Amino acid sequence: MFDTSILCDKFCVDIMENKIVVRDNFIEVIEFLKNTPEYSFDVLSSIVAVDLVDKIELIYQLYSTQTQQMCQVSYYCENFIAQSIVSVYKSAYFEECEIFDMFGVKFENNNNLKRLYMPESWIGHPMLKSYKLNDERLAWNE
Amino acid sequence: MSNIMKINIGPQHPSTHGVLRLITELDGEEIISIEPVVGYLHRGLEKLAENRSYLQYLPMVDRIDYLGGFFTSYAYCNCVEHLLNCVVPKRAEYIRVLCMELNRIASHLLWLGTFMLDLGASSPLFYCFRDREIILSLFEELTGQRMMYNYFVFGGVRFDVTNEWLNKVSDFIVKFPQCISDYEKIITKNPIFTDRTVNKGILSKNVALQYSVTGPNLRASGMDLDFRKSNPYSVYDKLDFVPAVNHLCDSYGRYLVRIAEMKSSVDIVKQVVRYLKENNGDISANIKAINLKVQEGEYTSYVESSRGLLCCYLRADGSGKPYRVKWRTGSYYAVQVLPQIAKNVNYNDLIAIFGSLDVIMPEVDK
Repeated sequence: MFDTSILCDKFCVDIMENKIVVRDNFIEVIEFLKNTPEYSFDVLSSIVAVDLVDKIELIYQLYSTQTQQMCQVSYYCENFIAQSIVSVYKSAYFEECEIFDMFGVKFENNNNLKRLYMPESWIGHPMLKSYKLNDERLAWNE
Repeated sequence: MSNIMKINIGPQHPSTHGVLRLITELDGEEIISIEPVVGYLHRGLEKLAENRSYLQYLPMVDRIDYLGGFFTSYAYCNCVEHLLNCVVPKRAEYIRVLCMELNRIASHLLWLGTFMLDLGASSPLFYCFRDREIILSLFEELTGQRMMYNYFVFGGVRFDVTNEWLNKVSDFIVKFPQCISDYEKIITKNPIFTDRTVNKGILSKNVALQYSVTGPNLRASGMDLDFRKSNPYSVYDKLDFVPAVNHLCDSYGRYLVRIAEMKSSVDIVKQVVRYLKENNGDISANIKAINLKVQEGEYTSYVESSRGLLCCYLRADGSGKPYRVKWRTGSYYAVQVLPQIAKNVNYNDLIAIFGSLDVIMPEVDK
């Protein structure tokens, strides 16, 4: 893990073994990590959503082309509502659509949020642990 | 009167290398906007992992990128091995690198052939497939399969390489540089090719980074980022090679980078073959893969695949099945950047630009 002292001075975050857990001011933390010269995490590698049954964990994996470091920023989203980071990293658009499609998380300020893989008429969000497999209602083309 | 026309390209279009739909808006022949529609090849590979044991999921990961099965296998095995705290024998790591580099050459050859076909040149396809066939035969001899290898296992590889097989690889890499210069003689200075690629599909370094484009597409935009060098995994830190970079930022630059990358892969293969001939050892850490239980934890492995950064995120909960698997693939981001770089270009350049990005759809749709 890289030196997180500058980040900790400014924001209230929990430093875990391999990730930074953010409680609030999420967008500000992401912007700070991107724009501070000591960190300069300029590439969003990916966004991983994990269904923890009572909440969804969103893990933002960042990469810095200058320091060659990787960083994971984690954020727990409870009511299926999260904040969009398309304004910070443009590549987040597909990822957010995918997470909306698969987990049903709505991203605020993402203006064109829609299902990425499944048809618009699909019922439910397949990657949730509560999703029923082999559901008769979902027989294709009915 | 408005002259804006909406044209639908795909999903069944021979040049989209899979099933991609592009909704384009044209003003005359100039493209105003593109909206990519993906998901036609969605097989739910991430969901399938959650209902299968670690071993049952292993043969499936080859299908994520069918032209680079070794990369996805490596990424998945690496995750499981890391969570099991298992040390992979050195010989196995060298065999893996050998397979991945030959796979990179085969993948770039297929790209070169189909890209030239997109531009209307049909003979390079036969040259490329002729040489790719040699690599596929080598893989078939080693693994028993031509495309979906299922060769890497947790802790190593399934079969050892023989000296006889290594000699065949050596024969191939002695002959192959001549093949590359043959392609270059036909293609590199061909005015029909350069007219359609030079200064077409400009992808600047900033846009590429904003859209998380990695791999050869990013290196053709002047950014020297190769994960084999910058964050070495496996035994890449012991190998000597120079990543291909250039600053042209256009389709032509992306072609040059891939040609140079095949040459650097040949250098790596040479060193690996020499090592394997001189050193013997175990090829597997002998992990009992049946009823394998992985302790709680999470890990992300990263691989420089032929299409960019490939990441596998794995979260284990101590049971016999993965709790969550997530794939980050290079093509996913290349599709996303297409509307940016194909804006205000002529309609007939669209396929040439898209071809130069080396997108394959199963990797996007997962």
